[in-house]
Parts: sequence; structure tokens; C-alpha cells
Amino acid sequence: MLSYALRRLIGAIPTLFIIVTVAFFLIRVAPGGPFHLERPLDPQVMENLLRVYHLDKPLWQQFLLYLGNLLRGDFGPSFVYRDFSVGDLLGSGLPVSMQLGGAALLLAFILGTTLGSLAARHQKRPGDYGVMAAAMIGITIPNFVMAPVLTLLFALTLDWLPAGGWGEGALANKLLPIFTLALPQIAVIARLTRGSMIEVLRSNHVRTARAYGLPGHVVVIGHALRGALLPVVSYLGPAAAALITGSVVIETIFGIPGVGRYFVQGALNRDYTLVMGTVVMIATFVVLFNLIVDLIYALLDPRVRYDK
Amino acid sequence: MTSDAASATVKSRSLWADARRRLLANRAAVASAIVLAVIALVCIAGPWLSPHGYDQVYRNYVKVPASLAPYPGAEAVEPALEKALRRARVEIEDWRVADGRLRVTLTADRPIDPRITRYLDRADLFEDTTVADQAEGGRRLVLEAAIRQQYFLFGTDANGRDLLSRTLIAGRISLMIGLLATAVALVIGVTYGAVAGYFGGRVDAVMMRLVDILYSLPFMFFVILLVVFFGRSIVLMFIAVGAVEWLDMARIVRGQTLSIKQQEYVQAAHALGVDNRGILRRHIVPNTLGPVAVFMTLLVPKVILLESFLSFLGLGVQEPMTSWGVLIAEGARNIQGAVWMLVYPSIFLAATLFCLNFIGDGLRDALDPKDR
Repeated sequence: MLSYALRRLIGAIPTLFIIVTVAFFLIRVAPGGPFHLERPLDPQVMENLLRVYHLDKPLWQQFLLYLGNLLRGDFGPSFVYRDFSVGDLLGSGLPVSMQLGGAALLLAFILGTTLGSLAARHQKRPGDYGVMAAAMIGITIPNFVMAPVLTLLFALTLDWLPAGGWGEGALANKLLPIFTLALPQIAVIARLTRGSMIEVLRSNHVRTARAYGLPGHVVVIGHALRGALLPVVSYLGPAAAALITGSVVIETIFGIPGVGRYFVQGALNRDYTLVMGTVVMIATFVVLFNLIVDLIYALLDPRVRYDK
Repeated sequence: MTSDAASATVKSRSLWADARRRLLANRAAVASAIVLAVIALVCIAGPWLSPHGYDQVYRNYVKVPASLAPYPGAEAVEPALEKALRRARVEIEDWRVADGRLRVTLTADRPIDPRITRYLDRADLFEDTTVADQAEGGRRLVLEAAIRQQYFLFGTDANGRDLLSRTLIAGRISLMIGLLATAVALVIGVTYGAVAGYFGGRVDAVMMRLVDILYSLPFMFFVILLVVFFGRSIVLMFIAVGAVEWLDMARIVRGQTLSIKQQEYVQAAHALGVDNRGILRRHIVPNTLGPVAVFMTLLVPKVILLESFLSFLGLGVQEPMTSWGVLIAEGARNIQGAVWMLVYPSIFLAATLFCLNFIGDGLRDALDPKDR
């Protein structure tokens, strides 16, 4: 298993390389640049700026330069947040986004699988329809609607929680963002769990367990859940990567200093290094979580073997 | 499949007739289709029927709440009157409202110019102002004006524009974007997937590798880049979004094509000398349409959501044109004190997405051969 993980990590290098290359050249082809402001800069100043950031060199040299720095773990300076390097920005924002995303993921996993299993056990009965209707709402209502509605309800009307801000990481400030992030995921996971649970409950080993006279919840938790989690786990890989790298909408609405905003802002400001930094970060997480998913697969399903 | 032996004497049902029958039996899907049709109809016809233009600004009615009663209410007349005459340098001696008409008596040190009626006409509340009486050599003037009754069923926004008209025109844009972008994704995705699957081998490998690479790039990166490239023009945005969303479509169609091209009727077409284009057009593509139709109904809400999301970030539709995403973003900013600005567009958006999802689910169940 360890050698498989290592092989996968090495195999990810070409993928990351291609992503970095494509992203690097795509953002450069976009019109405009980091120093194209409303009021044009003095040509002399512009020239100096371009020289300082090596933007006056041919594109391929810049690319090699960037790759070299990247290999040494240097993401370069941000063009727009002048006093910060991209590493600093991501380093300070990522823990925040990871906390929120991780908590949302955990919440979504626990609630989603529980609700999904309950719905499957009560298939075609009111409980099932209730959970599925709620899940449909969770999936269809976008987070930029849900976030203001929840703020209105819990912060402005009931006055239980603060309406926004990070508050040095106080728990009260985190609850609304975590819940808003988790809600659609709960819905998707509940639907996935229900679907696969219904199939697993029809399988032979579950019927055998039932025949032994085991109570319903023991059958579901002890025997069926493991198999039913497989599709959930493969959904969770990309979802976890997306959650942990932050959400622009949630961070904007609740005023949270995470990394989600940097991506959109960077692309709009043509802050080349910041955009590249976020792309590398997101791609790394996607690769990493897909690997974790495959490893968990082997744990859940003994038929999956990675060692030859 | 319906059992052929039993139905040999009965008229056999085609795949599509069968799917339609099963779809019509699905109450959630049928109800959704009706609701969706109503929303679409209202959004298409509504802006023409509405008395308010979507970009018409009523300065006297900024952020007025949604109400079934007509504006102005009785209490709104006095402040509006004072505001309208503030710069006219006259004293309001007396005013009253009767039978929907305003009668106001003005006094001043100097004779009042009768053209003062324009001050009143300029306010959104009054119209057809006339001089009813003049006294004291023109220093006392009695004006009469009709009170203009207007309905703002959804209230107005922060600029004093009718929210109902704006929600409807936004619906037009959002629905149009959904359909257009889906059409673009459909054309690119089906063509690409069918070609890759049909020719197979190295062509397939190269074409699908490209799809994989595009897949692994962060999706938002793409969309933002496209927006940056094409500027903030609506039509190009549709195309850009469609151009991003074709990847799934291509994969689905490729998978279908791989199995369809092994069928005997394709071999028969080959043997008859039909060229590749003909086979793709006549035999491959029509047979992939089942899953494609399902994916399409689910793609429309996805695109509408994406458009709303981009508009929410300020990258989408630009003022004074609007879309549900733009309205929701404005509503979220004005949530304190003007809840209706968030509520109504959100209801429209959520209802549309809901219906499309139900129809998509129903269509998938109806077309699923295992579930017969």
C-alpha cells in the first residue's frame, strides 16, 4: 500500500506540471496586466516594475524562472498585495479555510450518511420523502442565497450569532459559515448514501445478517454501511479539496480571511503569481485527496488491492 | 424492453413513447414542468405587460416594501409634497387629498410663477398639475394635481426601480443564458464525444487526454479567464460558459458511442458504403440522445446557477440589465431593511432550479431501461 501511494504521488507530478503550464500560459494570454491601472503609470515606473518582477523577459524565460522558484517552494511576490509574498498570503489564509472546510466536511459526512441511511431504511415512507425533499432543497438553493438567509434568521432576527467577521477565530463566528458550507454537501451525501444503501440492503450478506436475527440498526451500521460508503467516499475526494481551499462566496458574505477570495481577485487583478499559487494549491489538494480516496477504498472494500 | 413475444400483436411502443408515458406518470416531474412553463411564460410576457420599465427609476419610491396596496399611501403625500416644493421658495399653506386628487394652497412674498406646476409633475406621485385658482395678485396659488397610483407588488430596489419588472427581465436573461449555454455545450460535447468514440484508437486517446487536462484545471479559473477574455458582454458569456460545460457531455457521449459503434446496424451501414459522417449523423448521435437529454435538463440549472454566481461576483450581466444572480447579490447587500429585495428573486431562482432538477430526475427514471 505504501509503495502504491508513493507511485501515485510520483505519477501526480506530470499532471501537476501540465496544470501549471497550461494555467501559466492561459493567464498570460489574457489581455491586461497587473500594472494596467485606471490611470496609466509613468512609462519609466512601468519599465522598472516590469524589470523588478522579470516581466520584461521573454515568456518562456519567465516560465522557467517560475518553475525553478516553485520547485524551491517559492511562490513569488504578489503583484497587487505589494508587501506580501504569495506564500505569506496562502499561508495565513489556508488555516482559516481548512478549519471551516474541515469542520463542514465532518459535519456533512456524519449528518449526510446518517440521514441517507435513515431514508434508505424507510424507503418509500414519509421519513424517506422528507429527507429527500430536504436534500433537494439543499442541492438547489445556492449558497449565495442560503448565506444571507441564514444571516437574516440567526444573526439579525434571532441575534444568536454574529452576522460576519472572523473575530480571531471565535466559535460563534464559525458556526454560520460552517453550516452554510456543509448544507449542500449534506444533501448530496444523503442522496448518495440512500441510493447505495438501498442496493446494499438487498445484497446477500445483509440478508444473511438479517436471517441471523440481528437488529436493524446493527445490520445497517455493522454490515451495510461499509459497502454503502464507497460512492460517498469517491464523491468526497474532490468535494473535500473544494471545501478546504475555501469558497469565494462564503468568505465574501461572512467576511472571512480565507484563501477562497484570492483566486477570483487574483485573476481579476492579473496578479499572475497569486493566481498561479492558488492553482497549484488547489491542484495539489485535488491530487492528494483523490489519492486518499483510493486508499480508503482499499480499506472499505477488501476486494480492492493495490499491491500486485 | 417490453417483451416482444407478448406484444407481437399489440402495437409495440418505441423507447421514446414509453419514456413519455412514464414521465407523464411522474407527478413531481409533471408539476415541475407546469410550474416551469408558468415561470417562463411570465418572464417572457411580463416585462411587456408591466407598467414599469425594468430600468425606470422612481426617485420618490426608493426601497419601498412589497405591497398589494397602491402607492403612494396617505402618509407619503406630505413628505413628497415638501420635497417637491423645497426649492420653489413658497410656503405650503394648506393641502388636502380628496378622491385621489391633491389640492394644495401656496403662498409667497412675490407673485408665484404658474410654471411651478412642473415641480409637482416632476415628483413620481403627482401628475396633470393645474392651477385651479389665483389670488392676491398671484401671491396665493391653488394647485390641483391627480395622485398617480402605482403598484409595486414586489417593492422597489435601492435605486427606486420596480422589483417585479426587474425580477421578470432577470428571469428572461437567466433562462436564456441557461438554454443558450446548454445548447453550446450540447453541440461541442456531442460532436467531440462522438468523434472521439467513433474513431477510437489514437484519436480517442489524444482527444480524451485533452478533456482530462481541461478537467483537472480549477473550473473557476477557466470561467474567470473566459470572462476576462470576452469582456463583460452577455452573449459571449453564454458561449464561454457553454464552452466550459461541454466536458461531461463529451465523456458521456464518448462512452455511449463506444458501445453503439459495435452494433450490427452500424456495421450494416458500413457495408452499404455510408461514409463516416453519415454514420455519425444518422446512427451514432441519435442513439446517444437518451442520456444526453437527461444530462441537458440537469445542465440548464447548473448553468443558471453558474451565471448567478458570476453575476453575484460582479462578473456577469451588467447594469441596467440584470439577472437573478445580480438581484440576489443586491438583495444580500440590502438584507437589513429591505428583505424583499432578496426574497423575491431568490424564490424565482430556487423554484426554477427545483423544477429543472425534478424534471431531470424524472427524465432519468423514465429513460432508465433497468427500471421498467
